[in-house]
Amino acid sequence: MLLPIMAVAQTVSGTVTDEATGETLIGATVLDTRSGKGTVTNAYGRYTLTLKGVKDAELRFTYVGYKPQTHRVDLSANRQLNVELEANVMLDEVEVVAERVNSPRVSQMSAIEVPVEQIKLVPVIFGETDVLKAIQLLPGVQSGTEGMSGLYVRGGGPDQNLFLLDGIPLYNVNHLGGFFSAFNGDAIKNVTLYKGSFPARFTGRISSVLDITSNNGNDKEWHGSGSIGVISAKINVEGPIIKEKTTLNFSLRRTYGDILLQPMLMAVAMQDGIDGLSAGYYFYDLNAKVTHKFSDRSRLYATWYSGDDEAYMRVKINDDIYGEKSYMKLSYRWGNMATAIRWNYELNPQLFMNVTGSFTRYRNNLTLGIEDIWRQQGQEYRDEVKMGLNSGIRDVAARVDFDYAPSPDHAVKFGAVATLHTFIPQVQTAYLMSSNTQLADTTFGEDRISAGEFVLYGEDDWSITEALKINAGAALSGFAVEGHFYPSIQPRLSGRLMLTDDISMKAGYSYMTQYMHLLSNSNISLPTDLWVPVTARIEPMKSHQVAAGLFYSWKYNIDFSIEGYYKVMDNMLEYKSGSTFLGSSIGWEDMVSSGRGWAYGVEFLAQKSIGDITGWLGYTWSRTMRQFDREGQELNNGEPFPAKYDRIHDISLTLQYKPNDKFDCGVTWVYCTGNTASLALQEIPGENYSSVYYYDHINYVDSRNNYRLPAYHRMDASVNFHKQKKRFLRTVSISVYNLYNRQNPFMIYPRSYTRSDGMGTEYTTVLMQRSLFPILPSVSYILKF
Amino acid sequence: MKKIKILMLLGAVAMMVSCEKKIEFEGEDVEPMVVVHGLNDADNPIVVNLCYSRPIYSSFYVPNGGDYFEAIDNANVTLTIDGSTVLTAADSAGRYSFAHTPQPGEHLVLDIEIPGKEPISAVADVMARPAVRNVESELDADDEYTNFLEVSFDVTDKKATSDYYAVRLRMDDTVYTRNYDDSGNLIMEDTSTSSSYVYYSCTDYLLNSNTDIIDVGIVDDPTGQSSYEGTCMTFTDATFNGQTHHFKVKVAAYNLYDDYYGYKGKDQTRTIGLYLEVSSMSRDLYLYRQTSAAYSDDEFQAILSEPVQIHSNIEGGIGIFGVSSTSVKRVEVPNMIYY
Repeated sequence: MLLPIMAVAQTVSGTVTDEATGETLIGATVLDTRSGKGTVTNAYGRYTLTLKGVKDAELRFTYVGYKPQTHRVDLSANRQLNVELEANVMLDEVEVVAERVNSPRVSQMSAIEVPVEQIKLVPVIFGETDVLKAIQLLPGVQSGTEGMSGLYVRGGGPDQNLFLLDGIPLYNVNHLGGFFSAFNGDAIKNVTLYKGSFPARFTGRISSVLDITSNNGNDKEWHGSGSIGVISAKINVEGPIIKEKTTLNFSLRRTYGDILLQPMLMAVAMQDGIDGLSAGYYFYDLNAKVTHKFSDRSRLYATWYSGDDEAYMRVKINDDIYGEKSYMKLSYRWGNMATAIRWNYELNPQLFMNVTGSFTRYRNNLTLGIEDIWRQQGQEYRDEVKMGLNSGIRDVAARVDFDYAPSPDHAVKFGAVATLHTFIPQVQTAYLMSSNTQLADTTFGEDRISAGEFVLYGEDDWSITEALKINAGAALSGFAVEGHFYPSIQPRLSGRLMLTDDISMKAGYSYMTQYMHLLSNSNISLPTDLWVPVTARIEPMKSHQVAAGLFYSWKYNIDFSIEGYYKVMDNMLEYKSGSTFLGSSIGWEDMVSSGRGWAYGVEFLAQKSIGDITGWLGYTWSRTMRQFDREGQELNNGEPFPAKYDRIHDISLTLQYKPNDKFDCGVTWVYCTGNTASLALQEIPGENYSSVYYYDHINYVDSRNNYRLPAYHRMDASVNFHKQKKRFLRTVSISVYNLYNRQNPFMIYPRSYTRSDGMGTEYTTVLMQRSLFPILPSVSYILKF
Repeated sequence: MKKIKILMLLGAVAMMVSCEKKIEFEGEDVEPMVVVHGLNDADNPIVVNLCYSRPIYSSFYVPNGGDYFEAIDNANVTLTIDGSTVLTAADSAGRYSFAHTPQPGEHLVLDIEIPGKEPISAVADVMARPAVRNVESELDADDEYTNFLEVSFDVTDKKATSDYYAVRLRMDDTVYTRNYDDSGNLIMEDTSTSSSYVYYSCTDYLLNSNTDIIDVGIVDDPTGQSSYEGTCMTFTDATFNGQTHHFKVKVAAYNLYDDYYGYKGKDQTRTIGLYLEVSSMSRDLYLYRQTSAAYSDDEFQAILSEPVQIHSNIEGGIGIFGVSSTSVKRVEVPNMIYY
């Protein structure tokens, strides 16, 4: 009688959620304790586990920070089992075992998941929770310029990172030139960074993927929070529109410095006889997400994100004597907008489908308007000048993804993506009117470039034996632009071998292709930065990366890992010596050189994600080199040179302590070898040096990045005091950036002095250093209801 | 309380201004290097200048009348031509001259020996003169105030080699001054000639520039680098290898006429001669010109761009040794149209 059961495979599927909020849990572990077979929930909290030859199963559901649950399931047929886990931060640490993306048991390597609660406790500049600043503290990730959100992952550039917010790519992830990232911590549920061994479902960038999932919202009751910090004010509201069916999560963050500035400007304006004056700078982020549950098998998600920076000035002058009115408006606005609708549907217990339609836009608009109105002989006349400078990129994308679990040993993902990119390198508009006569209404440079990109991918997470598991896959992609077509087949492979129950060895290889470049003048994120596609002359960037490592999960929930990697990159761009790019894409291909790079290193990470004390210690030893030796495009005479952020040693320690609900604190310490810089060491005569052109001197740089700046180190600390009031939870947050006021190098430069004594002149040159941030304390006040 | 506020404010200001400080130079000891400056043309005897560089992060004293860069006057400098003929240079305060006018096709090797220093050498190939034909000029009035002289010419490139060119327009300005006695007899006539390179612009697609502003000093070439001194385009044959390419450049016409400065009369007259110079040069010389121009034009050094590395082809030293070959063609200047 048992034979039919033995031969048939049955599937258990369902969703794992937080009991209190209904929020889906990503990466929760589902394990059949009898057979040892297991799986983890996907980005939508869904799991599918197919078991063969058993009539029932004992499924254990675990997730970091939650009480485990065990359910006995009858497997005479396919089963749907939704589980609600109860949060318990005071849980005995040894009870929780979950297959986080960086745990020894999963086949994925070179990936790190950082709990959002942990990110919120990392002390940061001005107390602003910042996802990217926390990510910068991970091994293998360099931070670039101090205070900036740029990520330099395993020797890659800041344009080689794919930032996904609910699966939608964002092109500009910074505010205020990179001092703040565009991700509002209150709106985020999960953050995973992939540095290598990329699963086949990720394409389009060659160095990293930062996969961010936003909160769905509480489906049981309404909650909210509000906070005021040094820089910004935030509000977050979440709750059920229809209880346990439709939820809303809404977050808004805005800086308020410009609002406080207005009364002062008004006073200045009144003194100077100006009738209206407003000016300032602000940024905001708005995240909204609506989730509707049609049934256990079908859900719909609508996501909206918009975030802009704007610097503006408006002046109004009325001349009552002559009856003249003058207006001047200047606005510089840049930012992202992204929206997506996705539909999850369980086609059958083994096949899960997700269909997404998305639109994302990055824009950069400068507008200037001047208007004069006056009356003459009873008639009103008008002079008007309006100028605009617009650039950006727009993507319309359709995507379908499938999760297929045909057997306990296979977890297959496959899908397709089609994206229509529209690049707007630079559009200039001019409108001119004089004495009511229109003189010009012109648009220049409206050469939009359309490009099509498609991706087909497939990957299988295959448990070959109990100890050996691999993730094998490939992505087939293509990019069509201006009559050129660039195809690419990108194989991906990673695997893990369990050496003991707690220790595994992993290795991986991935090949990535990138079809667009970011034209940027400096290491600071400027609104003038432009995304441009590959062209007939500029080929796609490519990277090959191999990595291998050992992973150990200690019983006290501390994960240790040590990874080595070697990565080669081709068709990277660098500006030629002396070339600068100031917001114009015209002729950009002539300003850049194309070359290759390579990076290698060893990364160590010890991470503790639950308990009173959490945090991580990361250490990276690495080298990053570049070589531009193609004829006509040589840099550094074609010889290899270290990259600007070739930091040999990089240490980061971050610790958070949360003994109870009333108090928590955190401290971060970072140390890294100084950046490299191109420094002239010799002074030589110029081409026209002579007794006539006595001062024709050249500061001679013998090789690129030939000098290393002093080491960088810094300590930040924060303390948070929480108090439960009758209707809300009040939090006072105090943080200090650069606690011991270290003057870290931002840039170095020579400074020359001369001293004459009548008989001759003494020339002296010294090396100067400029630092950005001294010790910066800040206070925030947060109300949560 | 007020005192505390003032102290806090002063403290904040002190912290901000303390963001700049002098730091020690932590690099290896920098010894002065031998700088070779040898830019030559195939029409003139070869000259190289030698001096020592100055380590930047140091302190030194220059007496009045002394050279900022210390000239090297104890070097033994030789020139080997096509592997056989060896010439020794004559010394004059760091200036070394050879009694040899280079010819296109020659391969030159420069060897420098300085007591106590490692040997220094450089090589240079003398390129063939560019084949320049069909030089024509035409006046072009853009508006009632501005006249332009459009100069067109053909350059025929050699196939199978990478060639490097420079284009300049030279203006020879000759002023004749005459003195007369009371009877009106000519007692003395003086002639002075000065040469300068004039600014021009180029609307050639090859140069990837659509500028028609005459007063620009910087013109882009196909590789995107700027010309040096604002009066010269340097470019490769990357887009017309082995072909004849038709060039057009524009120059402001107002100063090409002998009556522009009022030099017209019995006592003084002035003549203007306009010459097109198309030079061919070695890759080293081209890169030196390019980087030298980029250095001059780099207004954002160390802020927004990487510092320019001046190209060098000197083994064991710094600098440039090269010979360019120039074809010179006279440009006719038609009569100007006056409005």
